Amino acid sequence: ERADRNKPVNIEADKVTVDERKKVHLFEGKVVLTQGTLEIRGDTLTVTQDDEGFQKGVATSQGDGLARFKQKRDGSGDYVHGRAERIEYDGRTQMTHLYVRAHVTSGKDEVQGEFIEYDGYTGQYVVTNSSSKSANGSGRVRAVIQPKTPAPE
Amino acid sequence: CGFHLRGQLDMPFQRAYLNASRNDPFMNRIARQLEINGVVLTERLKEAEVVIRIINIKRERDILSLNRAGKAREYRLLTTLSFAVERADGTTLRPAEGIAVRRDVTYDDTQLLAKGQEEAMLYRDMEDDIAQQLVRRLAATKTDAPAAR
Amino acid sequence: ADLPALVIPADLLGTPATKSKPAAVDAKPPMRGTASPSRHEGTEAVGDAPARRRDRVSASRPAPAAEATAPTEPTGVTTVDADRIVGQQDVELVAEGQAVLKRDRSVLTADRIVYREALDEVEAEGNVTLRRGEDRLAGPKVQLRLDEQTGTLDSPTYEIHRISRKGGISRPITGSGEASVIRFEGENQYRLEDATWSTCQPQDPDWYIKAGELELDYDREIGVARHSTVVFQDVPIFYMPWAEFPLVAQRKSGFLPPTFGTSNKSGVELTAPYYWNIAPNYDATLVPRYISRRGLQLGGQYRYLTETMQGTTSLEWLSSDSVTGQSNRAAGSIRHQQNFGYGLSGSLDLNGVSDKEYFEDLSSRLALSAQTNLLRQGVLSYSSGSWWSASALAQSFQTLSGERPYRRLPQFTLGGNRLVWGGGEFNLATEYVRFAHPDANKPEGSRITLNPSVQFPLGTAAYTLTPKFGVHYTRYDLSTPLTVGEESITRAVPTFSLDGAMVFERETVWGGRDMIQTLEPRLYYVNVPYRDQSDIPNFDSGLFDFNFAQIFSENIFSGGDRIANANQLTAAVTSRMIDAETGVERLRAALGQRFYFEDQRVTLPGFAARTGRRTDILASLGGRIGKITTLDAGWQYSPEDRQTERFNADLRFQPAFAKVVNLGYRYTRDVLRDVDIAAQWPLGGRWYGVARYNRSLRDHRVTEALGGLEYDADCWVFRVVVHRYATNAEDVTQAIFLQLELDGLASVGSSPLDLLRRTVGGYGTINQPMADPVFGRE
Repeated sequence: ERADRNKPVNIEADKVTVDERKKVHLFEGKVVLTQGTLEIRGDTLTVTQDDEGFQKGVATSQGDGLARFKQKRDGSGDYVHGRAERIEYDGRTQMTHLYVRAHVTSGKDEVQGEFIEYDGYTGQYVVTNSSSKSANGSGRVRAVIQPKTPAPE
Repeated sequence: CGFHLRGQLDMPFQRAYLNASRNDPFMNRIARQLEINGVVLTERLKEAEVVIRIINIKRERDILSLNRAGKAREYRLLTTLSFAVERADGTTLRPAEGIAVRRDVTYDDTQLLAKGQEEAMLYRDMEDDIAQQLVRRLAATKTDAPAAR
Repeated sequence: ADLPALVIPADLLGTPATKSKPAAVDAKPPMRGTASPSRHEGTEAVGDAPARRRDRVSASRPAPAAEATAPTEPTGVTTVDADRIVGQQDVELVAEGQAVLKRDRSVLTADRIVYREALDEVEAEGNVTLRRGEDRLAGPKVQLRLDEQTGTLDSPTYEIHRISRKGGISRPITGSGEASVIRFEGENQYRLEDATWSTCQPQDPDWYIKAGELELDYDREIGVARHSTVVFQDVPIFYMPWAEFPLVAQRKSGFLPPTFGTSNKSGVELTAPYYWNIAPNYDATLVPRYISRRGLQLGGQYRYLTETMQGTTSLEWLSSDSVTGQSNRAAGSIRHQQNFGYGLSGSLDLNGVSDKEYFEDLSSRLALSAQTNLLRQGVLSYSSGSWWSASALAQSFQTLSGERPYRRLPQFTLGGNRLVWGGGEFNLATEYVRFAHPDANKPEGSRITLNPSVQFPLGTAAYTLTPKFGVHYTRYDLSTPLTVGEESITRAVPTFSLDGAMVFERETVWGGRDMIQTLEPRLYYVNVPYRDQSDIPNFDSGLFDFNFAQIFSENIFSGGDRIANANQLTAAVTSRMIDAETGVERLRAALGQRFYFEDQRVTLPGFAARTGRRTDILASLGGRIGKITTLDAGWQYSPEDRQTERFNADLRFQPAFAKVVNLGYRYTRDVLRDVDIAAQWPLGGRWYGVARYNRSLRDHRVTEALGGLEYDADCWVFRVVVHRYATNAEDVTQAIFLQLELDGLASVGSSPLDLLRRTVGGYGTINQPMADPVFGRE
């Protein structure tokens, strides 16, 4: 939700190391970030702040577990869930980028691929089978859309 | 040379339902042949152990030879009865098969009415022949399911 | 083409007595007695159910490599796979790079797919293919609303697969072609422009329909083409401003395979029958037949079937015959059968032609031209449900050649049999008939017959002894007094017969199978005193052929005007080979002779009385004498003259379906000596041949010769037949006919195997379906 932007950010983790000079906080071990309806989980979370103070978080997780991301969508009561090996969330632009085994479910619809860019503002998304917006990978991406209105009898 | 007097055909079922009306002389002949061999024909299908389903009776009359004037001189009369045998619950005991019999008859257009009567006699003779062959086949039908005596 | 059996739709049937499916009743009413029983298809595949070569399993035709589109997702879910997807949730999605969109059973693939969720609409470009089940459409660009199934596909190629079920045999049929545009107008509804349609292999069809506008309705399985031409091997052969045709070769209205030919009677001839499927139990066939030397003949056949009635009415009409100058040459036949309920049923069988030479000139079927008398008869019969039944009949004939027969106007019969005390069987046969004759000099009059009899079947199944006592009382009232001047004559004749038979059996092995062989000796004694019948006119009596049916009957004359005196004993023995496991009679041999203890004193006018003490010996052998050979032989030998009176034999080799050779020889002393060879044989490749050669050795003349070739390509069949048969003493009809059957297009295509199958069997039957005068199946 748009309102999340000016909500307080709360982060739990086993350990945190702070680099004051670069204003970079590194959280490690079962990291959970919450800001309003936004929630990000992962093994590690790197949070950077820019001069206007917006947060930018990069959550990663190794092994079989994936970093998770959840946020309520404006206007519709649904939640958006995302998971990938690496999730980058930009508080200011409300853009989320998911890399490697990326999967986003919004309401009953879902998309999956190697790279997903999801704009929390507009609900727009781009799914590609490589590591960036321009598709040149080899794999396939998928979108599944559930029937919304009951099929006209 | 091994021949012995044949007793009555031991039919593998006692009560059968014939799905044809006995008003038809041909069906009546079949019914009588069954009764002679000890089979009781039931009124309703449910009461029977076996259903004899008469599928189709085909009567044909083909020209067999022509006289000098190119007109028919001999006809071949054919009668084919197709039937199937099922248990009362509809499962097949004997899939659809046919009994075909034929008789040849000379044709003379000066005796048109007489030849018509002769053909009617030949058709009746074929019906008797088919009825006997049908009973023979029914006698050999395996009703492996224990026939409810 | 053979016409399909009519079916009574279930809702019309009410609750059928037995649970079997609606009665697929024969299209033509079965009739007996003097009327010529008409042929009918009856149930196909009876007894030796022929596995039709034609109906190959689809496996032999490489089905297009369609991905398994079994829906893995619950219905309504849209799944999109691609290299890249850009979208706005709940609004729109754009998939690029071999994009694949799946919805229920449909799969759409293209370079680029745009899916608008609100409209449930998809737009795709770049080698678009749309697949549903085995159906496959392809084109550069498509725009389609998935749920409604409406939209357009540009310059498409399409293949639509369906299963055609006909006569219990199902086979795949593919309608394929291309067009400038396909408009989807709902599930299974397509409208194409500048389109082609064919049932051949999609890539390069041997034939196709080209149409300005083509509607394919795969719910009703009917195609409608406007401004269409049929193109065969890239040659347009048929233009139709408007045509309806079946899409799945099911019983639908449409053209039947046209027949083109030449004959010495008609010159060039073209028949293009059109089958109109009015309802499951009503149909009509219109048969326009252009005869170059005579003119345009219009023919039609209408069939109907309800729970209580069935019948066929056919009519042929040639407005003016430019060879004979006659106008309105026509032939018609009405066959109707009706069950009025309560045991009362009736039938009509009326046939007629405008002139005597009609069939000889205009019929292309031997069975018709060989007729001498056309039956005109109405029958009303009542069966009481108990032991007796009655009938009323009016019968006359249109005589085309030869003597004109008596007419029964009317005839009433009452007869039946019932069991009486003491295990006896009482039989009653009574008849009143009035005989009329067109020639004035022929005697006319009425005849009343009462013929009660009773028989007592004694014994068990192993041996039977059946005495039978009867009285045959007849009274004639003659309207034209004979030379003797008597008005009425009566005749009463007691009859007695004793029928004794025994049945012996033994198990044996024959042809490698367990068999039961029977030995059935039978003695049949008949005693009928002499009555002078020389002054009784002969209305309907004639001498029976001498055969095994007649050898065991009381009277050597058929009909009611002559009761032969008899004091005779018939002795016969029959032996059967019966398959122990199935009860099927494989082979039957019989030998019989009759011994007379009294001379024949009752004769027919113009026939000499028999003098000998013994009749000829009768012998017959019939059945399967080898794995693929069956024999049917009959022999009648006269011991007095020590020579053969009659001998005929039919030897048949049938190694496989559509592979059969028939050798027939028929000899009757001083009457006929015919040899008859008929064969149907695959000639290799896709060629099949049929040949028939029937020669009368006595008259040194070919009675019928016929050669037929059939080429069976995957989706079309070509037939050619050369046919020559005698139509009267000096005249022969010689014809060549070609037929092209486009598989599936002809709504009721006959199976190519049926090429003239009738010729291998016999000469053909009287009332073959008009639809296909030459190639029609039996």
